[in-house]
Amino acid sequence: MTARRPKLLIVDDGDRYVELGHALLRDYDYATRCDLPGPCWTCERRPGCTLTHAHDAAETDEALRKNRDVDVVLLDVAFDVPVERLLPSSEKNLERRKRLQGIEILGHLRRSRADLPVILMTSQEQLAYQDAAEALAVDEFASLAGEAAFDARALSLLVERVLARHADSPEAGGYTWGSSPAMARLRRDVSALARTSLPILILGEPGTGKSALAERVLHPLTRRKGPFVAVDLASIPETLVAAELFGTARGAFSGAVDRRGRFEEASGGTLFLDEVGNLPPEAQRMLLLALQDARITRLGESTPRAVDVKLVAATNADLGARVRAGTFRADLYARLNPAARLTMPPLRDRMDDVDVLARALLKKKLAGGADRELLADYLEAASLGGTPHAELHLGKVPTRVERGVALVLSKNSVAELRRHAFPGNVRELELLVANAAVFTLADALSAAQEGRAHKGESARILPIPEKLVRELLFAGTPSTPRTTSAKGLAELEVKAAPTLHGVAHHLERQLYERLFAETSGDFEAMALRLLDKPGPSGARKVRLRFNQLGLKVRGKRRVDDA
Amino acid sequence: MSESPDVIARMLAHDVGKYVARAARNLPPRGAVPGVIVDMLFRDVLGTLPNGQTPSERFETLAAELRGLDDPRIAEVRERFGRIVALERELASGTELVVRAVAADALAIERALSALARDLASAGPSQ
Repeated sequence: MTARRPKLLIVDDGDRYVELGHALLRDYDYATRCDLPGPCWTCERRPGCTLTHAHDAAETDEALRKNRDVDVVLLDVAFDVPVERLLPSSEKNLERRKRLQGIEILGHLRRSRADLPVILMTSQEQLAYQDAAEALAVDEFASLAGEAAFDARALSLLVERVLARHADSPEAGGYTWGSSPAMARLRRDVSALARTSLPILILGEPGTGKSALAERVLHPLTRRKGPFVAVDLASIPETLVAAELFGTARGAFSGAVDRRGRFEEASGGTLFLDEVGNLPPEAQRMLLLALQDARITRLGESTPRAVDVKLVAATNADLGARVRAGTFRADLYARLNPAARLTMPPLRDRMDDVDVLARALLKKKLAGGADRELLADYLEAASLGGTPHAELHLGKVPTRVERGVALVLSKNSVAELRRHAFPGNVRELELLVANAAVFTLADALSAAQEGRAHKGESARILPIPEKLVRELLFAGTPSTPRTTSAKGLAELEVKAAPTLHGVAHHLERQLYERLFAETSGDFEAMALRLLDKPGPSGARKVRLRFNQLGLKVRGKRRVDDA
Repeated sequence: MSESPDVIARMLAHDVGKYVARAARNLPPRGAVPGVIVDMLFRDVLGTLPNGQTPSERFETLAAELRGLDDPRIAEVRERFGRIVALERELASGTELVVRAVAADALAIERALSALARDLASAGPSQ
């Protein structure tokens, strides 16, 4: 049983399932009986209702766009609607198109929401059953209602079962735990700490997944019904931090208007303060008061306002050292509950998880947006068809690929991955997997479009070139800028940082910025300046590193994204 | 229409059996039946389908395609629809005994048509 009643979207051409939901699922706490149209759970006349409905593909898109928190879709299969409301299809038989429209909608939905649980409302005696069963054989998160199609009790049990299966999947909530002892300890600590009302402090190197843990694990465990509000304190100017967190009253300072701060926005939910070590002194004092009294005062006001938030703070700084140095308040540090802190292990301490992480990161990368479109385009160009799906295979070429494509890392590449130190942690692995997948798919798509690709089932296997993996690993490793061929290094500003890696990162960033300006954004010219033998891939390597340093190109102008 | 008997039987199970049993299979096991469910049951068994036919009319249309099939379940379903139609006024008034009797007939119709569809599907297409 889930902690709260799940939200159901019913997609049916008529009102039979909608009516069934309202009239019968209310006995299982999903619905409030009424005949009002529109999203139910936003309706003030039916508090507590967790149903809403759509009547065709377009309305389904609209409902999911407006309600990202839908948990399960109940999808009818046959749609007796005018042809203009059907999804485009190569099927010429109009009756068949209508009869199987639900399966088309499922495929359509999968292009944007790969892991949303769907129950196809069809039973064995229906004409669509065989086609639905075939579609579902390759869909991890879809089920057939079967006899539960019109049985409210069976349907409610099926919804719970589908959700439990989804929650048990390795990608539940988009968070992959892996099986290393370090993560097992973290998981145990999370379970214990999530039950308390105390603030939670997460420590860990950059890229270890502190914000992901806060959003995808701690928030659902503690304040799922409320909002999740994240604030990166490193990106807000010191003078604006207090106003951002606590809000302002009109006239508090020149140009100030009545505005809620992030504390109030997060009321009833979770407030995640990233890089909490960067809090300026005044904001530290105000945060301490907020944690002590559960009340905040907007800048320019004198009357406190009650707030109810679960505070999760994260940092990669040594807060204890800052307390000793007098730059972080000892009483605030104590309030952040450091005794029960959660420590994210660096990736080098959980190398056993690299395989499962890499697989999950690939799925995440290809779960939606332009990357999923790229995968869909390749499947179409290679005449493979089907719902976009890709799996990563490490060190072994699969003998048979049931659906979509298999992206294969060679044994050598896997060995190189395992030898790599991953100073950028999971974020570095994520970038590597994402780039490897996109470059491989893009090359495969070009080959398929030009008729150079494998045909038939062998087109389902896409080896990731070893050379590409080496380039990506090299580009992901922070290195000291070359001093011999890059001009102007003597003028680079050396800025102290907590680690030498931080110092080098800052220098390298300046170097790339300068080279970018000097070459007017010509990555080939930059590669010639930076590498002895840049070769055909030199520009790509330099551009990749440029992006990894947090610099972005729009047209020929560099935009600082840090 | 020129579909094979197994397809017609599946259409009977879907268009007729599935829908007439919608509210019937969700009746509370004992006690008074809520008015909203009585209304749904009434519409399920006597209302019109999206194509404008009542369930019994849809049944007759499809059953006519199975003229060559001598299956007692066809006659059984016809008889049960006859009983339901005869009880229209009492069902509309929500008399509990009648509601439960009609629901029982609706469930029996669904069982009969599902069994027919399964049997013909396992026998395979005949055309």
